[in-house]
Amino acid sequence: MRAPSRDGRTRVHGSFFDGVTAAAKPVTVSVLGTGIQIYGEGGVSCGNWPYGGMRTAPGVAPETELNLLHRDHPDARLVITDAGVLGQIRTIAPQVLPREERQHGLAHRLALIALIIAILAGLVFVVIPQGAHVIAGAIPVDWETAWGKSFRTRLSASAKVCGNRRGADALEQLAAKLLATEAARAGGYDIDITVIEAKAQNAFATLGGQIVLFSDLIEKMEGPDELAGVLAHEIAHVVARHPLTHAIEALAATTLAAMFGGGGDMGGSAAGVGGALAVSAYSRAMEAEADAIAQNILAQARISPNGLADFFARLKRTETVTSGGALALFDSHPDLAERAARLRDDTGSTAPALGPREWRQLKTICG
Amino acid sequence: MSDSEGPPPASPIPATGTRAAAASGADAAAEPQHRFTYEGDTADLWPMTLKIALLNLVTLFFYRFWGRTRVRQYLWGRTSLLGDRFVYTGTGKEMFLGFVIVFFVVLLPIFAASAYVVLYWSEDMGAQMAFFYGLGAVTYFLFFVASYRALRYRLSRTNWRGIRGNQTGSAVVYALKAFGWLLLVPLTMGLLYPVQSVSLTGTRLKNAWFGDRQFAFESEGRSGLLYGPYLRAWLGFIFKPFGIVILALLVIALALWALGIDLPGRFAGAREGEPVQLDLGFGLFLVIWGLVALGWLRTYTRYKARELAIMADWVRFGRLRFRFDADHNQLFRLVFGNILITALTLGFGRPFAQNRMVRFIARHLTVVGVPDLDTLGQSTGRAPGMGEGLADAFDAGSI
Repeated sequence: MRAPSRDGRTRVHGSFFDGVTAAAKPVTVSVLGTGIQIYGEGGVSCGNWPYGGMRTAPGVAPETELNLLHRDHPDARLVITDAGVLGQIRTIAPQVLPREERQHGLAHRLALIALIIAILAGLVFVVIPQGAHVIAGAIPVDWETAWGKSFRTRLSASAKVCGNRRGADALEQLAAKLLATEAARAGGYDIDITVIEAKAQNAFATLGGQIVLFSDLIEKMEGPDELAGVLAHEIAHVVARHPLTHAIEALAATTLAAMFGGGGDMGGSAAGVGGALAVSAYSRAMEAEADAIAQNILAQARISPNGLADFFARLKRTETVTSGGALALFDSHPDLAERAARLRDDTGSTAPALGPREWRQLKTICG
Repeated sequence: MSDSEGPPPASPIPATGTRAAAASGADAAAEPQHRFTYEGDTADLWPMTLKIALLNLVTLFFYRFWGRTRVRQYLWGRTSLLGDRFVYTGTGKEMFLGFVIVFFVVLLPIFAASAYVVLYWSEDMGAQMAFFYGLGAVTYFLFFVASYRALRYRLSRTNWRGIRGNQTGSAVVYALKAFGWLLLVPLTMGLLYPVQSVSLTGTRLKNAWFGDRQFAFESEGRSGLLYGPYLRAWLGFIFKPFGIVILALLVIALALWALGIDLPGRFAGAREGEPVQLDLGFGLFLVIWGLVALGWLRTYTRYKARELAIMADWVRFGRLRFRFDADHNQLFRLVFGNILITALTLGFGRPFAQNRMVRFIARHLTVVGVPDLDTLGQSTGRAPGMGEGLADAFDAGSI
């Protein structure tokens, strides 16, 4: 709608909200070279909005509705319904209008999605692991030791720690052989081994040279060489600073997961948990490195690596029997047979890691 | 879905009765009803979402403040009431500054204190426990403070017909209240949940303003009305076929556990750093918990749909009343769909979920009555200068 005005300029209609009340003032406006002149009822001026400081309401496409804001009138709004004004402003003051959003085709979208996935993969598989490795190298062992002691404190409060005198002596004897080797001393850690009573076959190394053996694991072991092998493997993780590197990786991954998964809703939490799970296990490269170092420790301690190889082979068997189908996809150790084969060495002649009596005592460390 | 999310509560008010009273009940006889319109379109969301995702990744998520602002501008700008659009006037810079301050004033000290406790009290069990339990409590408390402040920020940055919203009242008082309920509700086995909901919604709504007019929430003595729907939802959980299947599975799993029968494959072997493994027993465990979560969500939405409808009826804004008419199936589809969208896209697809949420609200929320816009003046409250820092840190609020 256009109406000729007294001064001869074309005026168009609009609604003006002055930012004082919610009332809509019917107005007419003139598009001038320097700005927009607003007239209220009876042709009374309601103000002049210069183009400098003027912009369209964010999120409102000017093609659907010309909804204007001005820096100098923070709450006020000017809504112009005449389609011709948009063209005039585009010619006189294009900076007022938002940049045109390009609509992408399907191919473009897919390419962007692929790029996003590639960057994400780069972060998770390259930047985070490499970065964690560098950062871990800069952290003194002392700092970790304090954390390790703190962990040990909490562990003894939440689980039953085993250690009758004879069993502890036998374990001490076995550990001493391994820890005395040059390969085990390389990391500069003061390694501490704890046995806890737990109904799961597990063993792990954590920050500050803390190694934890589960009683169930010791019970199922078929000989001292097997336990020596598993211990050497855990000591190797410590020497290579894997727990620290892994903790840093996990921290980075959880932080990232919180940032893109976050949002205070259940979907976001699920995405966050997924992100954290993605880094919950040691990488294959870390396991291979630990195997190699374990091999050195065992060789220097004159203990056969076949114990560890046997143990891996047995794990492999239980696994094939029990977890088939889709769940096997989640398996992080599909290469157990390969690892066993790489460790096996029938050339050297070595004595068992412990005598039969000590081994019996060690087996009943939780008794 | 947290209580803090959603766009500012059904704020504004219509000018002229655009649409006369539709079908509905006799009570709404001649009163005009006004619906929100939402014109969001997934075709617009694609380029926006992809661009935000890329910039987030490239800037290690420092872009998120600007990305969130863009999405809100879109959601607000496509929503209108009585033909007038909402405008989101917040900026990425405000949110970024809010985050920087919270980082140095709240997060860094907490992190430093945790490190100190871990490193220097490493062998003092009691001190460690006390510290970490205390930290947990503080975190919950700060989360509530954050969600209240985020509400204030969003309302103060919402402009409709030249008028802003605001949220008065103390975030700390609100957080204390919410924290008290957090302890009380589990203590009463969830029995007080509806009362809690009325109390906290009331605190938020009674302190909400649009312009110089305050919202009212006529809840006095009416919490009891929520107990019918609350009990029906729980009974539905137990007696519907789906619930029966879940319960049966739970009983079987508990029996196996109690009898010490391990399903084959559970804890198949020793592995470093992996206390739990994915195998048959664990798979069953996951399936059962997945079903329980789904059943719980069904129960939650069954109740929540009724609660929203009942509570909407208690809200007043001047002479205006509100009506919310989503049924529980519609609410379940919204919530479950949004969980899937967000989880499966690792959070990158959140704008699509927000788009669904705003469309849902616009579709189901009706404003009833003749608005009195000429006397609705500008908000006199001081708007916060910075945005949502704490809320960002605690991930509060999803819109």
